[in-house]
Amino acid sequence: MKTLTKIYELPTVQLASEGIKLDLLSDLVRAGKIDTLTMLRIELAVQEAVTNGVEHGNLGLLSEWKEEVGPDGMDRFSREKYERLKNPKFAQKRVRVSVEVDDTKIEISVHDEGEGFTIDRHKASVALESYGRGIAMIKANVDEVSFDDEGRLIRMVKRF
Amino acid sequence: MDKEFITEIVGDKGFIKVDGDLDSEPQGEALRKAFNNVFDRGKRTIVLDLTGVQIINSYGIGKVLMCYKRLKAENGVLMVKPLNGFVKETFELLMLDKLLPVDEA
Repeated sequence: MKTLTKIYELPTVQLASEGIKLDLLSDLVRAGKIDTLTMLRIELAVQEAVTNGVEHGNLGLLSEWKEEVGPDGMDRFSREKYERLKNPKFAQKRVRVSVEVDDTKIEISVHDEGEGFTIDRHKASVALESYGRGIAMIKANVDEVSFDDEGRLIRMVKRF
Repeated sequence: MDKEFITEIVGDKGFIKVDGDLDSEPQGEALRKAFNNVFDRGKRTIVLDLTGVQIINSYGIGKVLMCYKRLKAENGVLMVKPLNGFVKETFELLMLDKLLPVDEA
């Protein structure tokens, strides 16, 4: 099987409202390369990575804002997200998702245009801390995860 | 039309039946409204029924934890109906099973 490559480059505002759908994954299920549960796991990992790229990367939202909850139950993170999606300075930044499939694996990279971040590799993923939850869920659902470009790029590999 | 989850009051407990996956803003908003509905009626033991949820992501987890924290702030308890599948696995991964007791009733 040759390596199949597909690249998606989408603006933040579109990803925030529609997410991303990787048609290639359904094709892999039909071809018998992966089962439906594996497809769901990969979709979840990609969704988490894209969400991180959109929210923490391009929109510059901080995880700790999720803890600042108003009397109506809405948190500062949600309020700021709503406002920044209306601001072209944030909304027009893009996220690039590239997918490569060969006989043995699928490799997906998600690259945002944000300020970058540092992953504390020694920090345990504790349920109450919103930081790290998304990354923990990515790591639980693919075989390899790596970061580059000061945290703007995440690569995920799932082997068949 | 906004999504609404079914809520029910039985004795001193409030119940919320989550309909569909917890992985998007509309679903998160529906949970927030359902929680407010039960919380504002004075219930401080609230049970989430996630048996119909196939996928939960970090956004959905965040919304569940928001419910947990609001109850904890008033000495209340957030419980879940027995979990299964991917949701159970995710709760165990993130140690949420240590925080949220199971309502076996």
